[in-house]
Amino acid sequence: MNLSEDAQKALTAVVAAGAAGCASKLGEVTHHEWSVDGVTVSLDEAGPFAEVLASVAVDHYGSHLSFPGGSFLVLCSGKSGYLITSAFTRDVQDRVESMPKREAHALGEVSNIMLNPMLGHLAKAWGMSLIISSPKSGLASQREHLSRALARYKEGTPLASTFFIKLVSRQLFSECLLLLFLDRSLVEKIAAR
Amino acid sequence: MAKILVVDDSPITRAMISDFLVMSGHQVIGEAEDLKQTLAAYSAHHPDLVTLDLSMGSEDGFTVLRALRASDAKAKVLIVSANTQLEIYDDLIKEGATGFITKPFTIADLVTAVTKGLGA
Repeated sequence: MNLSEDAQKALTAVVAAGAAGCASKLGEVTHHEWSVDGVTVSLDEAGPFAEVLASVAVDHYGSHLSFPGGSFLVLCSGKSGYLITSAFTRDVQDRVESMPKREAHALGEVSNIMLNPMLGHLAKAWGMSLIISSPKSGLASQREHLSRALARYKEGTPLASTFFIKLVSRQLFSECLLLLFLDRSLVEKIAAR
Repeated sequence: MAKILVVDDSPITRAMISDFLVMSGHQVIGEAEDLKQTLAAYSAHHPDLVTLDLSMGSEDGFTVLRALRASDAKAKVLIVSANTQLEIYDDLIKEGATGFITKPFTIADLVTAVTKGLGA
């Protein structure tokens, strides 16, 4: 999609500010400090995914959430997923310890909690009101998670841009990759404002 | 002590809310994860308050709130959500919600919101 350099910069600035809120909320739920370790944007559907798809196919926890005009995918390695889950559920550890798919459930809820402030920031900047879907989480290869996230774009909805946001906690020895996909219809609406 | 029904599609969050409520002296009369379970539990136990998630798998909180208020116009419903857009909470209050609390929350935050919701 063709976006002017100014429009691209403005869009990236809004997303980067939202990502900072996301890191802050992640710190609140895990009781450890998190920071944003880079925000990059791609306006090319084919190019940016090559790196993820070419990487070793180690299973990752992935949480998929959508909203009108876009979607999020949060990817965590098994180790990060375990550490984030343990920190998040520390007050109810006895009850959730033997829960089936504990990590997937916990990481879905953590994603929901950390992405809502980001979505709120984007909604305010874009003059909209947006509700995020319930998370769908599970363990699969990064390739499978990405295919699942991109499936909607094979059904006719054009993808306009993808943001890659790396979140890191040195205190918790963990990191997550957050992908934000924006539909062309939404980006056109934002650019026209 | 109040009788409370906890509605959320996340089992982790249901566990957190239920444990916090029990620790603060309330009775959790049931947990539900969708509209059908919510209405069944409500009609079986007539709780003093329902805690309700805004984003659930099959239905959103607005749908569940409207259904609860249609079955009992006096139903007290406290919205529990990670959403930060205040205009959405304004709409929920107009639909009859008694209050809201945003995730994440501490036990003290929850007790304050529940006490306020019960008094509404």
